[in-house]
Amino acid sequence: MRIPPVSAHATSVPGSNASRFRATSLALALMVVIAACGDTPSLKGAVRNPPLQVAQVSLPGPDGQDVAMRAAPGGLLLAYFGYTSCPDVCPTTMADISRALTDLEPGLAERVTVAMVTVDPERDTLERLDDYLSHFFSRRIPLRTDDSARLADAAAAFGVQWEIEDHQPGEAYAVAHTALTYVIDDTGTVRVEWPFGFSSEDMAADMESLLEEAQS
Amino acid sequence: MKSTSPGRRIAFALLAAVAVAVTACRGGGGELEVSDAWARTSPSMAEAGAAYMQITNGTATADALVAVSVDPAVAGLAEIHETVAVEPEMDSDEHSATADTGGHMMEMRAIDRLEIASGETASLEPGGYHIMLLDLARPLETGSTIELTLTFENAGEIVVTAEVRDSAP
Repeated sequence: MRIPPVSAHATSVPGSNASRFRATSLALALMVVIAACGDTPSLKGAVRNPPLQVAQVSLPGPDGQDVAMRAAPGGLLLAYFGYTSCPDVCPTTMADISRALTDLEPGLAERVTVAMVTVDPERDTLERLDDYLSHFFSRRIPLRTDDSARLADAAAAFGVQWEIEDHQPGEAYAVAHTALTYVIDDTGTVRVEWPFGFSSEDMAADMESLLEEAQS
Repeated sequence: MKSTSPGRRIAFALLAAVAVAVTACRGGGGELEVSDAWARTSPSMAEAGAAYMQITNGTATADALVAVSVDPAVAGLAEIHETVAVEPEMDSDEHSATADTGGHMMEMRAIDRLEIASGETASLEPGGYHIMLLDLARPLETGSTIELTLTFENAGEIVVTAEVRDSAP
């Protein structure tokens, strides 16, 4: 879940005071180097190493325009794969993100856009998806494709899986899906991933860290 | 589940009376109690919704929630559901990286019964057990309330009022 711990176990090094001192110095030096890098703010969500690069992924959005998976300059794009007939998991996450954005200072929140890719293009039209998102967000991008290979490619870039429940035509069905939220920066790098149930407070903290870093 | 028998109205009045009686007993112990019932506000176009609650079995014997019904003016159907995390198929190395980060799929299943042992509380909450409302007649609006009739194996039917909210109470 977290950035690998920096631990030299300096105090447990057996032997003379001199070697202990050396170990401690080394650990301190390491910490200084890491601090100096400065591009890895302490994040509460899951950080992948190496991070996923998703700028090459694009899907059709409003007005038939392809939308690339990268944020506007200095901003963040939160990407989620779900569907609008999802009564439990999706609206819970959307509501949590919405609350996190409300908790942010307006100046920061307005640099965040939420994109939702439907894994249920059979029932979700782009209009329907946009209507759904509008319930939670003003800055939103609905994404949908009928091309199953294209959807599969986009999902694979994120490691997203989904599975449509067997059903008769016209019958209601559920779609099992990966329920992570991917936080993407303006280079198309996934900076942090939030699992289902991640608190809105922690979401807000992660967005604040990343947005402040982007500003500096 | 889709009971629309002629005696429905009478049954409903009876259930309401039972609910009042149950409420009146609250705090006395020895009852099956439902508390903190709420339903999530639904986006205007959504056909499905979810309701959550705490069910505490204060009786001496195990009980089980076996059915839920709802007024057709609210939704066409109510079902007991469970959301579970399922392991991803390990068909690429990518997935191993997400194994401990919630990278599995969330899957929703209808269940026949939700057992609640004596002295236990079943939490119906986001990402776990919930009452799924299908074919919503109209959007669930924040601040409104809906009634759900819960049928228990031993305790019988209990009508609960769920407040429509954006998040858990």
